[in-house]
Amino acid sequence: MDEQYISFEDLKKIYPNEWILLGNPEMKNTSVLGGVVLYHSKDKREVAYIGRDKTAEFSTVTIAYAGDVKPTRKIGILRKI
Amino acid sequence: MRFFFFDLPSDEDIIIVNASIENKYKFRLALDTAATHTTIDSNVLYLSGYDLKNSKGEYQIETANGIIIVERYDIEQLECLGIIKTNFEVQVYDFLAHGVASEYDGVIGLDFLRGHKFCIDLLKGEISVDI
Repeated sequence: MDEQYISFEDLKKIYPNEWILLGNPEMKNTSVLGGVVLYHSKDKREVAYIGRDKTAEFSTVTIAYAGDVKPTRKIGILRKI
Repeated sequence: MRFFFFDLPSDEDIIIVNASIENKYKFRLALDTAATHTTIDSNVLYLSGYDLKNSKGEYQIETANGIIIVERYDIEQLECLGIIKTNFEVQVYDFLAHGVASEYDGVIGLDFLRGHKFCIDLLKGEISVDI
């Protein structure tokens, strides 16, 4: 494993409640287990826009949130009109 | 038949599935059988190398919160649940700009799943897809 690899549990301690752009993320089902940090910020848009130019050397990338989103009840309707 | 697994730890959780653009940009979509069309966060689309100025046009969309306007883009390759679609049109919406901050990056809709047999097993936390 690359020495820059950081587990997601550690990422939550290092960058709490931030969006993190990860290179070559390790995944289990839909959970991110860790990866190489390419950029991080509390602003997801900043991560996407600044982080885009940092992804070239990685075969896969993802954005993960290092915190817990407060669960809410949802109604799912998306219909073209 | 391929199998995919999800967690529903609380009553407020929804079914999240993995997806990828160009087999590189991995993100998470909510599986929403009440959505007629697939919708992706504009930030994810930009991250994936798309120019947000190249919209094909707009659609009006009915949501639980009222009518919203989305942009239309063709994705060269979109993969989800083992299904791969090329030159697939998606709706793109800036969720953050409209106050929606969630742990997923959009919705996989029936347009993507059309033509496939899939079964959601809430007891096992498993989705089976006949590809």
